[in-house]
Amino acid sequence: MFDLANLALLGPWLVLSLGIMATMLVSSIRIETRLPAKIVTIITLVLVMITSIGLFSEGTKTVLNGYIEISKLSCMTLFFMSGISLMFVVGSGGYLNKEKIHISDYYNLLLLMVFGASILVSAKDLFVMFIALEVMSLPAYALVGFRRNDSRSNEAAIKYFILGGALGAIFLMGTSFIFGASGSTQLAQIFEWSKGYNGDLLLFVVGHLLVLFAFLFKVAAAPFHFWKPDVYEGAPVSVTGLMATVITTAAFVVLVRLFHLVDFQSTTFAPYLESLKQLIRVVAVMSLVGGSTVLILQKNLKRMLAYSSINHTGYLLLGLLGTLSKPDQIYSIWFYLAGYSIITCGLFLMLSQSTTTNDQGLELVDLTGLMKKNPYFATVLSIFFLSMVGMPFTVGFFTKYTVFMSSISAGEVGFVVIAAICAVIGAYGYLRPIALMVMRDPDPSSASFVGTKFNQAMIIILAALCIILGIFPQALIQLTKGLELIP
Amino acid sequence: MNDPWLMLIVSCTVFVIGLIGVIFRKNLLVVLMSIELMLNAVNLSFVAFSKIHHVLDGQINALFVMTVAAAESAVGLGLVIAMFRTLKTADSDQIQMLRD
Repeated sequence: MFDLANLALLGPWLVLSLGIMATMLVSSIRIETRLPAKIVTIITLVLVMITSIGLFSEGTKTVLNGYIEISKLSCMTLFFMSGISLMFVVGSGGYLNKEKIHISDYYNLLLLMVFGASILVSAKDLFVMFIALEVMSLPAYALVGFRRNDSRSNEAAIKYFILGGALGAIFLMGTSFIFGASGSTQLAQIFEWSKGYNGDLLLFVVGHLLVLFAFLFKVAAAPFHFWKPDVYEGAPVSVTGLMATVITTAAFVVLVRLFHLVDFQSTTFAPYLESLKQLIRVVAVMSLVGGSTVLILQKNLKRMLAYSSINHTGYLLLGLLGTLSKPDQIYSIWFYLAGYSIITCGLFLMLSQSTTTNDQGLELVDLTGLMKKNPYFATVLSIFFLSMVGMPFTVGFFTKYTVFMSSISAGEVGFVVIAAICAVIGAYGYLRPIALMVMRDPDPSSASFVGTKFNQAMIIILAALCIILGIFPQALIQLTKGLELIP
Repeated sequence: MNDPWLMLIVSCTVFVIGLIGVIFRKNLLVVLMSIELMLNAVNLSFVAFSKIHHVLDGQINALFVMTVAAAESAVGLGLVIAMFRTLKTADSDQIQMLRD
C-alpha cells in the first residue's frame, strides 16, 4: 500500500519529476537562453545521483503496489544513466551553440527521457514498462528532430517515430496476450503463475515473442537493426550519444528482465527455453557478423558507431545466452553495459567538438593527419577507439573477457570463437581511423576539432576511466556482481 | 458480441490491418493513423482478456493506452509538420537522404 515511508523510497524519481517541472517553468520564462535550464538540469541530475546512491543500501523492495522495484540493480543503473547524461549536459554546451540550438526545451526533453529510462529499468509490470517506454521514446523522437531546419534530422526523427510507435503497439499486444495467458501483467505474478502452470502455451509464447521482438528492435540486434544507422546519422551528435548510452542501457536491462519472465525450471517451460536459446544464438551471430563486417565499410563516423553498437549488441546477447544457463554470470552483462557506455559517451563527446556545422565534418577522411594537427585530440580519440577494439589495459578488454568467460562457462564455446573472429574483423574498422590520424599528412581542407573547457574536462575524465578500469577492473566487477535480477 | 474470444478475433484483425498500413502505406498521415489503429486494437484485446479473467486491470490499462496514443499522435503530427516545412512533402518515398 501507499504510505509516506514509501515516498522516501521514490526519492530519485521525485527529484527527476520536480526537475522536469522546474526546467519547464524556467524555459517558459526565458526561452531563448539555455543557461538557467542547464543549471537546473545539472542540479537535478546530481541530486538524482546522490539519492539513488542513498537507496543502494535499502536492499530489494517493491513500492506502489509492486509496480516499481527498488533494488541494487535499478538504483545502480539509474545512478549510471544520470551520470552519463550529466556528462552530456555539461560537455555538449559548445556543440549546441555551434548548431544554434538555443531553445532551453532541449534540457526539459532530455530530463524527461532520463525519467522514462529510469522507470523502465525499475518497472516490475509489463504495462508500466510500456508507459515508461513511451515516456522515454516521445522526448527522444523530438530530440532526434531537434535541428528543425535540417531535413536529415527531420527524416531521422520521422523514421525513428514510425518504427518506435509501431513497436510500442507490438509490445503492448504482446503484453495483452501475456495478460490473457497468466491473468496479470506484474512480473512477480507471471513468475508465480508459470511455476504451477501445465496447460497450453500458445497464447503466452505468442505474447512473449511479440514483447521480445519489440525490445530486440529497440536494442537494434540484427536483423532488426536497419533503422539505427539512419537515426544515428540524422540526429544531433549529443542526442545520438544519449541514445547510444542511456536508451541502450535501459532497453537492455528490460530485455534481460523479459528473458527471465517465467520460471524455466518448471517442466512446462523447459522446452521453450531451448527454442529461446536458439533464437538468441541466431540473432547474436547475425549481429556480430553483420555489425563487424558492415562496420569496416563505413565512411561516416556516426554510421560507423551505429554499426559498432549493433556489433556490441551481439556481444551482449552472447552474455545473455550464458546467463540463461548460468544465472550467476549475469554481472557480465551489467559490466559490459557500463564499460560500453563509458567508451561511447567519450567518443560522442569527442565528435561533438568538430567545428563544421550540421554534422557535416564527421567523415572518416576528416581525421586524416590529425596527429600532426591536433596531437591531444588524436591521442584521446585513439584511446577510445582502442577501448572499442578491446585492447588490453583499456576497459574494452575486460568487458569482452567477462562476456566470453560467461558464455564459455555455459558451454557455448563455438559462439565465443565466432565472436572472437568478429572482434578481429571489427578491430580493422576501429584501427583504420587511428592509422589515418597517425600515418597521413594533414589535409588543409579537412575539418578541425576545438572543444570547450567543460567538454575537454568531461572527455579527460572518461578517457581516464577507460584506462583505470582497464588496469583495475576489480572494483567495478565486484560492484556489478552485487546486482542481482530478482524475478 | 458477448463472447470475449470473438472480440479477440476482431482485435487481432484490426491490429494486422494497422500493421499492414504502417508497412505499406506511403502517406505519413495514414501511417500515423495506422499506428493509432494498432493501439486501439490492443485496447480491445485488453478489454476482452479482462472479461475472460474477471478482473478490471485490462480495462484500466485501455484508458492509459488512450492517453499515450493521444500524446504519441501529438508528437507524430509535430514531426510530420516539421518535415513538411523542409521537404514540402508527406510521402515516405520522397524522404531518403540517409542512405549507406
